[in-house]
Amino acid sequence: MSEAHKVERVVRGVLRDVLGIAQARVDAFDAETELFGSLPELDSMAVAGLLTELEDRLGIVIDDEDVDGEMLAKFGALCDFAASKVRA
Amino acid sequence: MIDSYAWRGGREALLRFGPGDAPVALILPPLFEEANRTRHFLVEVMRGLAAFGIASILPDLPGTNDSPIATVDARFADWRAAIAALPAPAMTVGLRGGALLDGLAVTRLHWRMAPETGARLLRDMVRATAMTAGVKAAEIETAARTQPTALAGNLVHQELFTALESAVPDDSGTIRTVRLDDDAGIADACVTGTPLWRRAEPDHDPVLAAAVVADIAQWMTSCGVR
Repeated sequence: MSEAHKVERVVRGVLRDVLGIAQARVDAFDAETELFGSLPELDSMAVAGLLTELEDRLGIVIDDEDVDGEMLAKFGALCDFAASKVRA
Repeated sequence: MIDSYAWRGGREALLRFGPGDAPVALILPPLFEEANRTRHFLVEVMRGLAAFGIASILPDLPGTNDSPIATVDARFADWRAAIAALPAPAMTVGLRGGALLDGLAVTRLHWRMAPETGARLLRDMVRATAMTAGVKAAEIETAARTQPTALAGNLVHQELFTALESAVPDDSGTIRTVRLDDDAGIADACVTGTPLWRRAEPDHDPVLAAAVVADIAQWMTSCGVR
């Protein structure tokens, strides 16, 4: 499995666990699936949990300056962001 | 069974399960909001331990759960004093931030699940507050060090905030660290389950509870306390 795929799997798992949504629903997410603003479960509090859980599972550190609407807008953007932190 | 205990600041409730003559596991729940999210889970773990003949106690620490003391009036020193006033446990079971407090108990046997440093727990709360309020996290941190500050629904006193900023799980004693299998942190064992402490709506994971009970029981046996 490529690193990008591993990161994507972790991001799906975090969305499932933090938001409490079904695996089948998370499995259906693609790069264009809209997240923040479209998923009612993903409010500001959940975003904080999501970021911290990504840090724990990927062993990365996310600066608050890096967090903006764009990286959370779509599933693909969130995966790309997480993968860029893993490489950093 | 609901019992209570006295400490220098008053009386607090204490939940007790299991045989009266058995070695007692002291359950130390996560801090702040995470405690509410995992209470059901922890109570089910206590029931499970009782079925193995293991007694356990879950105290309300000053300023937590149903404590008569307001959260903003809680200090780290109060938690230390309260834990010292509890009946002596054979071991501790600390979940998340609860592991920051297990070194305060008189036993040296510490079982931990997904332990976190105080700094990381606070970072999570500060971040959540910053996102909700649209304020920079650094500004909230600065405020929280100098005055009581509302963090993710809890009013936290600056003394408690600064004490937690430097709090790390004590590495002395005999420790077993268990984490969820998705967690990248260092662990002695991994279990499959849901990070219930992350869930906005309190939830339960019976499979995880059963795995935790079995691991605790086995570890107690290997440590010779049962």
